[in-house]
Amino acid sequence: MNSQKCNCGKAAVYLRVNEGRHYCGLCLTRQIERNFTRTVSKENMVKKGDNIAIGVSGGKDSMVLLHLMDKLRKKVPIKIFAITIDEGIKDYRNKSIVVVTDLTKTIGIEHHVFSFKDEIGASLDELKESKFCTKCGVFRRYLLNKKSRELGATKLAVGHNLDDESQSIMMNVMRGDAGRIKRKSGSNKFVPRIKPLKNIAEKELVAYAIVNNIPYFEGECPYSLDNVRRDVQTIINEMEAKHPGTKNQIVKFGEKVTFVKEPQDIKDCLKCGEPSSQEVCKACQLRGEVKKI
Amino acid sequence: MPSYATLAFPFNLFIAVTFKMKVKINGKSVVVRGKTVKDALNSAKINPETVLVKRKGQLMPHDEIIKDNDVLELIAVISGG
Repeated sequence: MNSQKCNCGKAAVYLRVNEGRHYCGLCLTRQIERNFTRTVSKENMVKKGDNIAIGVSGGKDSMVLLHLMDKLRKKVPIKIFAITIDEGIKDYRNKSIVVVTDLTKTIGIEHHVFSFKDEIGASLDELKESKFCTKCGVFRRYLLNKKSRELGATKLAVGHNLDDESQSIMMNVMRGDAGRIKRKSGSNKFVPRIKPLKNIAEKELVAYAIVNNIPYFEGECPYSLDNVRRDVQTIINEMEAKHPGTKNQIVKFGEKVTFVKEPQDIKDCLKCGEPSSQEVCKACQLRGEVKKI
Repeated sequence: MPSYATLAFPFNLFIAVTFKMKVKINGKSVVVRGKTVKDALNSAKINPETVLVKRKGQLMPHDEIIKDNDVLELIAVISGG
């Protein structure tokens, strides 16, 4: 039995360092669910009658998101369904899809899987070249948007957490790209994205999943070991360990920055008809490279 | 008159020696300088931000006191990608 105690008197399982406060499993659960509800309502992410597609990879973030959205639909009249993009990474995505399928069956919602192989023409394993993460990200976002729209979704929920948000802001700073911090979308072909977990730290999501027995796939993408995001993640985690609260402050900075890019002149891609700022969208440009191999 | 620091010296040394223990982290033996989970992680050169720690199947706060010969299990926090 742990000697540290939660405010309620039970044995603590988690210490939120920047607050210096201990949480037992139940109080941590309540706190995270309150954070989720506050984010959803404060930013009007969900309204009655919404049909929400949830991007679920099988990792802890998306599995916790699925669990919380399932709880939400019992309070608010909304429909939810899960979408998984199968990039075709052997011994990784095939295993995580099984975890998603099991949970969607348990909670009784539809689960749609779309593969790079069928939709793009090649799996990620077949792209024997560099820039895996760039291509994977472009194709994944492209398919998530296209397929959720085709399936009648009014919103697309993704499991971005506080850590992801802080990394994105730092990466934009490193690119000198203030406009990317906030961007308006100029096409109704974009399904509005919502990030209900954006104020919850990655570590707390793992603790929540463990405490509430939410299954998730623990594997690590073999292609993610050497990318810019991973470097930024390492630096921010080092800063957070030395200066607790750093991640929160980076995200607060991102929210305070008011640079808003004017809606870009979004047109339909000449090849696939999906919304794009260029004549031919990034996915079709990259797909052209895929076909050459 | 000797200073307080001089008088306390042997006791400081005693405390430093006492707070050195051996634990197992994911099956590997680690000599820990300190007494908490965080000290154990630092001794193993693991950033506490990147892991959660379990002992006998129970999650532990990072300031929880550990004992000699404790067996700790790490749960990776970082995203799969």
